[in-house]
Amino acid sequence: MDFLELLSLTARAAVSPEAAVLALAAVGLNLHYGYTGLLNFGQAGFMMMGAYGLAIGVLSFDLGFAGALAMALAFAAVLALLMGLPTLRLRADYFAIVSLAVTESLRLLFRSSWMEPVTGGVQGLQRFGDDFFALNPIPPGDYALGPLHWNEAQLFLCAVAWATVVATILFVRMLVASPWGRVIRAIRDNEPGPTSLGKPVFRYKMQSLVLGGLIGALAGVLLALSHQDVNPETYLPTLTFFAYTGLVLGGMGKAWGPVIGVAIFWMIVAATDGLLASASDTLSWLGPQQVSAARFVLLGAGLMLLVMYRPDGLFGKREQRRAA
Amino acid sequence: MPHDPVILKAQGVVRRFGAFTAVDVERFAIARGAITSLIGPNGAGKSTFFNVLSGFMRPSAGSWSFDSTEISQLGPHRVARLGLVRTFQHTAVAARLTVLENVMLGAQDPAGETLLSALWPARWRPAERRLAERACEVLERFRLAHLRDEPASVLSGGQRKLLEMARALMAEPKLLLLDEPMAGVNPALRDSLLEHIVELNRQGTSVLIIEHDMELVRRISDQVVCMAEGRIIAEGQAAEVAADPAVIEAYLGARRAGVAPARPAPLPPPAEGQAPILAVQDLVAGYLPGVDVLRGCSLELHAGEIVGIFGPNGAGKSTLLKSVFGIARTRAGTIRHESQDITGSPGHRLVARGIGYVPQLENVFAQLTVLENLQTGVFIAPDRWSDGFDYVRGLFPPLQRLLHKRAGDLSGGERQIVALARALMLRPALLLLDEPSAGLSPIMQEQVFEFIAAIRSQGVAVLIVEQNARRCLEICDRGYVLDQGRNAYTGTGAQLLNDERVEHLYLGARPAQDDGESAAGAHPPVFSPIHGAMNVTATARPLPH
Repeated sequence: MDFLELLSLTARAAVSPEAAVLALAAVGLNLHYGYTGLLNFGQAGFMMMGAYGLAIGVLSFDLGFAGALAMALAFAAVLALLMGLPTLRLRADYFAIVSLAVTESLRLLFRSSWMEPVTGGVQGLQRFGDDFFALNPIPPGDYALGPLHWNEAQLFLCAVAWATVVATILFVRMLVASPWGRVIRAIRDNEPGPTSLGKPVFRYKMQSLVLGGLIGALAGVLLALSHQDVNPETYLPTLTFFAYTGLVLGGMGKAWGPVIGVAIFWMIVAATDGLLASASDTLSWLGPQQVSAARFVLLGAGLMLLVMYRPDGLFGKREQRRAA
Repeated sequence: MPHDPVILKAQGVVRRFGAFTAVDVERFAIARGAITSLIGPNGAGKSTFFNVLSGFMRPSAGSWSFDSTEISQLGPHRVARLGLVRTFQHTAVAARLTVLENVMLGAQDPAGETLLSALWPARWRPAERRLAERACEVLERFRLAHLRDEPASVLSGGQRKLLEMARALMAEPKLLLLDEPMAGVNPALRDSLLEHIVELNRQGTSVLIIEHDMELVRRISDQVVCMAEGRIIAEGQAAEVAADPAVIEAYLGARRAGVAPARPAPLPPPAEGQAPILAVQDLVAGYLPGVDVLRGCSLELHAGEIVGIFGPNGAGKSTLLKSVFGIARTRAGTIRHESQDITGSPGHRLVARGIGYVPQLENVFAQLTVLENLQTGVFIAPDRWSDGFDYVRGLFPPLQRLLHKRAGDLSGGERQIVALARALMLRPALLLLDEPSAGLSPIMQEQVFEFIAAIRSQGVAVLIVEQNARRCLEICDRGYVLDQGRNAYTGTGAQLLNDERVEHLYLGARPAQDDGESAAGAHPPVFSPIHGAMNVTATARPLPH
């Protein structure tokens, strides 16, 4: 594999709709963890709510795209309440465990045969995207920019996805700089402090959980549209951890951190994938199955080094966390 | 409209932790417009009482009202909204917010603080600018204005206390609860904090303050309330309370009338040139950046001695022990064990050298049986198990019947015995004890002190920090009294026991000026060299710093 090929591979990965989806999920996590201190291990669950909400809205209720989108967001809000109401008054680790457990339980419920009439069970749901792609104003054809090329549907999805990412980041940035944001950041740093000043901490945490969850649901909607398929196996806990990886790379509690981090993460995945695949052509002991495992071993090691030496992200200041 | 002259009224407030009753206050009232101080020895339940009153901890029983509103059922933020605002002993500043943002956080219901209103920046931006101006004025007064755009994490411990108070002020409280606002604040900042409290009170805010510095309490309080063992034992003017025998007893332990203390048998003077088993020289140590708890403290301990460390809360007693055992970080000075430098050595190395340490809290493994607890005592040398086991069984007869009980099920006194026994399993020549009698009933305290005397009779040198100064001094060969991280007085146990200045240090009155009779020249220095002057009956004199 030559260098140019690798470069175009990574560039395609960085702007792919999947990268946008993961970035959006990470923006929601940034609101949860980076700004409010809520260790949400169930972002995949919010994404799943978004994806299934859209698909079920279109297929079972015939709502059209806008109605189904509203349903996706409503699903996510319900999940946030389900997770948050019993746990957000408790110590932070209870919430972390419950967020993971609720998400996984819901996923198993959705893939069960009992739910099959609505969720499609293990088969999942397909053919719900027509209403969305019908909104596409781009004339049919092939479009290219350097190594990147799309057909009109891919270009539309890509544009919508990245526009959503940018708009969401601007929205979150405005919000965390507001007096409301000051309170959630104070909760992150030291919960008794704002409590002692009369701030209803539980309400703020709940609001942050719902908002970040809605952002996660948008990511799920885009992922479903991009794959044209909703399947329970997509929303494994690893999806949440990929979003966290991007967030850690880009730096938590920074508005643009998630998108930069996810882009880098996705590029590294693509690059190591390409490199290892070409290495496996020459090294007999490195088969294609080992390749996909090996890249995550490398990624994991890299992430550990990052957390050790750059706890505030690739572009963070190292000394910040060491004081006090 | 006539105001109730009492701003906070409480009745029958009880808070239990399991079988332990931390707070049991029958009646408590704070006068409107006054500065009330809540004092009491460590473990008296002051902070717990504070937490209960401010809604941060649920009571086991009781009711209280603030400004004629019943608030005992309200959560902490609702209590704060009514105008009862508190600060924390360990400050609760938001470290990653800027100093200015921290102060702005104090404002009550500023525009844009609800999620819906935050969505329209045009609506809250002008109000936000005015709020920032107001916050800047407050920061100016607290001499923090130059740090306004720094994250609060850069502040020193003392500056954090200032910031927390500035923030509480922004909330315009009717009653301000301050939990040890001066703890860890360096003397230069103390006066300015004090001015702020007095000024705030002059403007009409009632203040309830937990404070250990009795001198300061005397200066600012209209009313002083003293707690001990969860109960209120005295109330009134500062001078009255400080002179109350019950208060003195709570701080220093009971003076046992008519009982001739069993003095430890005097030790033979150490051989010429023999190094002390422990020598601490000019130790400086602390926890928060820029705040030293110990500020140049020295002591010596010879083989076979019991030496006590005394002083008011916050003097640095426990920190001294922790520094010796390598838990608190030493910033300057040296610690020598048998003339070898052990400054900063980790605890497990020191155990191997023959030093035992019993921490004040959580000093047994609650999930393990007593036998298993003792086995952990020989972790680094399992072959010494039977030797150590026989040794501690001989020292502590009650162990025999406890062996198969879970340590978590034991009473406080029994736990202390298990902790002592575990620390002695490797037969150390030096034992460090942190408040072994704290929280125990008088009978159990007595038993623990007798055990410590028995440990000494085995030739073990003991360095002990103790709240019950009087009882402890009875078994001590010598003692050191610390004040704000420095040596204040030193002397033999008997000398310190009868030295009024020790009492004054705990309870805050300035010691009487040395008159002719006790002038420095009239008596030789108390002990120099240490053992040579043990029989001198002069009152102890301050050490030069």
